[in-house]
Amino acid sequence: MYILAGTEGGQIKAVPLSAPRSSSSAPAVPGAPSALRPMEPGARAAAEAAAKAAAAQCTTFGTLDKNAAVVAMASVTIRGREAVLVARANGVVDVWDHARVNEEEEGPGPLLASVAAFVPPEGMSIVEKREWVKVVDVDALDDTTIMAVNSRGTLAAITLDPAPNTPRSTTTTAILQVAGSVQTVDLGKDIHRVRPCAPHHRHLLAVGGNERDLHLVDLNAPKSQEADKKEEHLYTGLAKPSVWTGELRHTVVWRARNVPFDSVGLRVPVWITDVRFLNATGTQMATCTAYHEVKFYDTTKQRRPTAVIHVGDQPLRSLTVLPPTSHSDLLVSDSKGAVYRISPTQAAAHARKAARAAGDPDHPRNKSIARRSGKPIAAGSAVAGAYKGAQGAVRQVLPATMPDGADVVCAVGLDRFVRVWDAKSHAVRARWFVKQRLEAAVVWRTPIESGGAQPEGQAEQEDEEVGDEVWDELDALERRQLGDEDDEEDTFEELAVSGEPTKKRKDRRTEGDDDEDDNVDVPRAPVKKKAVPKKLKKPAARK
Amino acid sequence: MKNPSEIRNKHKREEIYQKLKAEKARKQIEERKRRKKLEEENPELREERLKNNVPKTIDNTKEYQEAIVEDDEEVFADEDSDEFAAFFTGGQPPKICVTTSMRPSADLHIFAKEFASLFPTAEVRKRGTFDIKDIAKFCTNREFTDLVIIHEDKKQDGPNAVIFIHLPDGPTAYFKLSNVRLSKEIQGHGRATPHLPEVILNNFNTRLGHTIGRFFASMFPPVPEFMGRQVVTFHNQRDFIFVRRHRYMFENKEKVELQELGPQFTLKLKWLQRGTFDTRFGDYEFSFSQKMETSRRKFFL
Repeated sequence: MYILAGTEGGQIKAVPLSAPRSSSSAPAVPGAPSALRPMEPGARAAAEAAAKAAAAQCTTFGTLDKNAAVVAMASVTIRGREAVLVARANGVVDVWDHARVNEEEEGPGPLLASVAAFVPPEGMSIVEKREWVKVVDVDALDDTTIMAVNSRGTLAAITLDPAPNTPRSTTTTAILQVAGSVQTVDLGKDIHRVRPCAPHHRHLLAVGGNERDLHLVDLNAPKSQEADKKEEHLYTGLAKPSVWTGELRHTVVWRARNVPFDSVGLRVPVWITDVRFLNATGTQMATCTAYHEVKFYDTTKQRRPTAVIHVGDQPLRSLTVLPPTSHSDLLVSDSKGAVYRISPTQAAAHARKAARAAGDPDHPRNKSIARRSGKPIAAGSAVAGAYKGAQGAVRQVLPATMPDGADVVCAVGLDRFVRVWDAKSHAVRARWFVKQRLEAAVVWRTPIESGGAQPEGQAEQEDEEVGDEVWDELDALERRQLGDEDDEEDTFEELAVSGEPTKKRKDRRTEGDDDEDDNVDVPRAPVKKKAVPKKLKKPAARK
Repeated sequence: MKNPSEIRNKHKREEIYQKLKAEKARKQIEERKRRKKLEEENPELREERLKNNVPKTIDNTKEYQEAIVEDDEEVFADEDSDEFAAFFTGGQPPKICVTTSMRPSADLHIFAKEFASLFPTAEVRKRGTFDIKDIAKFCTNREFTDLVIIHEDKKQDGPNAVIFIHLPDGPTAYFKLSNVRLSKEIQGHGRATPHLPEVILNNFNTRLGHTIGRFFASMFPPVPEFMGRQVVTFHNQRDFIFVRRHRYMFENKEKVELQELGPQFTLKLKWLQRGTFDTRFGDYEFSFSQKMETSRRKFFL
C-alpha cells in the first residue's frame, strides 16, 4: 500500500505505507521529558541508517519540471482499471496506472494518457493564459470520462477511449486516448473545489470557492430543477445510484446560504477551500474555509449551515472524512501544519445545546454578549484532537486503512515530508523526507514493483556478483578523483576486467558503511554505462 | 576518611574541605606534569589523548535531521528551478528596497541605513503608512528584487525583527533580530568601502537552510570585488544566524587578520511563507512553534 504524493516539480513520489517504522524519532520514554533525555549512544547513527533505508524505499515517477507542477490528484477507476488522475499547472491531466511500472520494458510505462485539458484560446495575455491552463481540481465523472476544472471556472469533461495502435502485452489492455471533442461548461470564477458525490452520483458536484458559497450542481438535471436563489429550497438528494447522462448541464439544484451577520452586524465572508460529501445520497456536506471554519450542511433541513466550527486561526487547506471505523470524524489541515480531527457528532450536540439555550437570556450558556444576540451558531469544542509534527502547510490530509486494519492519517505538505499517524492514538507512525514540496496525494493499493529505470532510490541488490561490480566502480572512481581524468576510459575497463578478490568485497560490505551505496549519484562519467550490468539499473542511467 | 559534610563544626569543616581541594589540585598538576613529560617524548600519546577526550557539545551531539542535504541531484535540480533561479542561473542582479515599520524611532532609522550599507544595491525608503502588500506591489513595478522591512515593537527597544520578501513571487522570511550593534559601537571597527563584498554562508545544511542561504546569497551582486577585501558572513549555528562584516588582510601566506566593519546582528528564523507577504491567507513552508522543540539537540536550518 502506498501514498502517491504529487510534487511541485511535477513528479510523483510513491511512499510505501506498510514499511516498518522509517525515519521517525526514537520511541518516547514514558514519564521522561524528551528535551532532557540524554541521547543514547548510537541513537544518531541508528536514526540516520533508518532514514536512509526509508529514503531508498521511496520511488519517484516522472521528470522534474516546475511548469508541470502537480496541483491536484484523484484516485479513480477508468475503463475498469484503478488509476490516478494527476492535474498539473500547465493544463495537462495525466492518467497513471502505477501497477504497470513493472512492464516498463515491454510497453509504455504507468502513464496511460496525458491529456491537454485546457488549451488557451488565441489572443490571451500571458497572465490570462496562465490562469486558463491552471487546473484546480480533477476527478472522474464515470468510468470513461474525466473532468477537470481550471481556475477560470471552466469544467472540461474528457472522454477516454482505448487507443488503437499501441503494443499489447498479454496481461494489460491498451492505453487511452481522448475520444471526440472536449465538452465544457462554465461554473463561474474563483472556484476552488469541485467534488463529485462519489461513488454513486458522480454527476452531482459540490462546488465552492472564494466568495462562492457552496452549491450543488447536477449535470444530469434539466434547467427546470434549478434552485431559486431567493427561496428556502431544500434538496432531498438522490436515493438510487445514478450515472451521468453524458451531457453537461449547469443546473444548480441547491445553494447554501451564508450565516447571519455577526455580532457587530457585518457580513461574514466566505472562502471555501475544500468540500466533502458526508453521506451517499448527497444531502450532507462539510466544507472548510480560509477563515478557519468547518461548516456542516444538510440540504434536507435548511440552506444555512447546521453547524460552524472555528478551528485554530489559520486558513484551512484540506478536509477529509475518516473511515467509518473511526466514528465518521473529519480531518482538517491548515496552512501552518496543524492537522485537526473534528467530530460532527460532538459538533451537532453543541449546536443542539446552543439552540436549546438560544431563546433564554438567563441561561448560563448565553452569558456572553455575542451569544445574547442570538444569532451565531458556532460550536467550539468539536475539535477532538490534533496530529502534531508537520512544520509547514499541509496541502492534503488523507485517511487510510492499513492491511492490518489500523486506521492511519497521512499528511503531505510544503515542508517536504510525508507523515503518517495512527488515527486512534495520534502517535507518529512514520515520516519520509521527499525533497520537494508536495501539493496533493492519493492512497494506492496495488503493489508497485520498482524494477524500471525510472525509479530513483534503489534498494540495495542482494546479488553478490552484481555487488562486486559496484565496488569495482567505486574503487575506480576514488582513484579517478585523485588521478588524471584523461586516462579514465582505458584504466576503468582494465579494472572492471581484473577485479579484486571476492572475499575482500564481502568484508567491506558487511562493515556497515553503506552510505555510499544508498544515494549513489557518484557515477556521473558516461563511461559508467559500459561497466554497469543491465540488471543493476543505477540512477545514473536516468537521463 | 570522614565526609567533610558530616563534620558539625563549621570552621573545622571548612579547613578540612579546603585541604581536600588543595590536595586534589596538587595531584592534578602533578598528573599534568607527568603527562607533559611523556608526551614530549612521544607525541602520539598526545594525539591519542586529544582524540579520546572530545567534549560533547550540543553541536556535535545533534539529533539526526533527515532534511539535511548531502550530495543529492534531485535537491539540486529542485533548487535550480526555485524562486531564486533568476539570480543563480539567470544572472539577474539584486535590487533591494529597505524600509521600516511605521513611525520608526531615530534608532531604527539609523540601523536601517547601516543595514542597507551591507547590501551594495540596497536603498532605504521611508515607510509612510503603506501596507506591506502594497509596498511589495510598488517595488515589483519598479523592478526591485527584494523588499526588506526592519521592524521594531517599542521605540526604546530598537529593531527586533526583519522581514525579507523576495519580489516577483518569492518567499517571505520573518526573522527575529537580536544583539544589534552599530558600527560605531564595535571596538576597533573599520570603515566600509563601496567595494562589492564576498559572501560567506556557513552551516546552512538542511533543505530549509538551503532556501534561506540562497535567499541571502541572492541579495548580493554575484561577482565580488576582491580588491576591496570585504566579506559579509552569515554564520548559522544552532538556528541562530550571525551576520558580520569584516575586512581581511593577509599578513603573510599563513596568517590573516580580520577587522570588523559595519553592523553586527543575530537573526533567528521564525517562519518562511510561500509567496509574497500574506500572513492571513498564505501557506507556510516553515513556521516555528514551541511544539517543534522536542529536544535541545534538534535544529532546522
